[in-house]
Amino acid sequence: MNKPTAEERSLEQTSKDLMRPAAKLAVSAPPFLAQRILAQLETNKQQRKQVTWWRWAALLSPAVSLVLVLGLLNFNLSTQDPLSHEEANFTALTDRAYAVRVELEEVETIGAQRVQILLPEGVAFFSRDYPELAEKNSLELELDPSLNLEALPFVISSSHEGIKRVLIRFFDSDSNLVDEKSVSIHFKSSSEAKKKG
Amino acid sequence: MASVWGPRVDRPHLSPPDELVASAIGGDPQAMKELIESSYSSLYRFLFFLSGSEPLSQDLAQDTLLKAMESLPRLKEPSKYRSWLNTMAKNLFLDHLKAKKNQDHENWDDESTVTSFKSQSLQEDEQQDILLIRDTLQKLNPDYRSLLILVDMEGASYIEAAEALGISESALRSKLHRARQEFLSLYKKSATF
Repeated sequence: MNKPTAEERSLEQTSKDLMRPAAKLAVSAPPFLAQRILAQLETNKQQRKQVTWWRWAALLSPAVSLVLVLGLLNFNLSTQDPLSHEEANFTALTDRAYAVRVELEEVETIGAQRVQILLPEGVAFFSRDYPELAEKNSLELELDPSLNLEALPFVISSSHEGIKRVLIRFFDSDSNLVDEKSVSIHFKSSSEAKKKG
Repeated sequence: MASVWGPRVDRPHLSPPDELVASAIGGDPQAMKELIESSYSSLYRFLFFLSGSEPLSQDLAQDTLLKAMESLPRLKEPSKYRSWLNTMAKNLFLDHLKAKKNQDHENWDDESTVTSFKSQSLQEDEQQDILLIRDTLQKLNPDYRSLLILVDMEGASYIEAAEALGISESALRSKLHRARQEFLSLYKKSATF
């Protein structure tokens, strides 16, 4: 870079000299400004958790074919497909939306603060309000006791046939895995289901 | 109680210590509090001369600090805190202009309404100087204004100012030269009246 010319240096000095009085405008922060800002940060953080929860809740589409209810410690098993070589908890149709509901009665007992839902290939989250969720293969939510969540609903759909295993993982505040549950769903195409009558 | 970061003094033209910024990035509430308090004066000054309005400067300074504290985890280099903060402040000011569709010389205050003058017991001639600088700057476009405030008023380095404005150092030098020429020309005209 070229060195400044004499004219540039002179201009710089003159400008800085003229600006010097401006430095006298030195004000202290208003009283309790820092406390107010830190309090607002905390409020914003809580509100974001709420927004995340309601966005999550929007996953519960009214177009539900079947409600699969999972207790945290127990499964409600439906009829298993006898032709399947692998056991599935539920049977469902491809390209149909199904609501999965995870009961949260025991989360405080196990110290869970965050839940993660992982979907296998071919299975997607379904939401009419947030269609972009279909691109994700996992979702996480912080379990805030103040939200008083009794259950965690989400809606999924599979475009592939076969037995698909959805994982639900619970983590504590240090991100340690404290519990893991899975639900296996045997997805069949509607044409296949009709053949079997 | 003395702060662990040193006595609480206004640090015009100086960036907060990198250690303070790093601790605030790590979420230390005390460090965040110190950072907010030590950043306020130069941030307010930047916004006062950028916007020309004391009430707007106060609002924007608080908004900037709130946004900065929320975004701190994304700041990778503590040494870039000041230019990062100034970028945020400038962008909030520009957003304000767009939202309000104000002329940027609106809301000029005369010395009777600039309360910060009274709190500092500035002499009348000092107040006049400051208002003349402010009024002259308002006649420049926001880019030139930002440049002059950052470099000639706040003492930022060319690199810091270039980062804050998102331009190269060579672009900054030529822009700064033109800004200075325009400022001095306008200042002389205003000062003779």
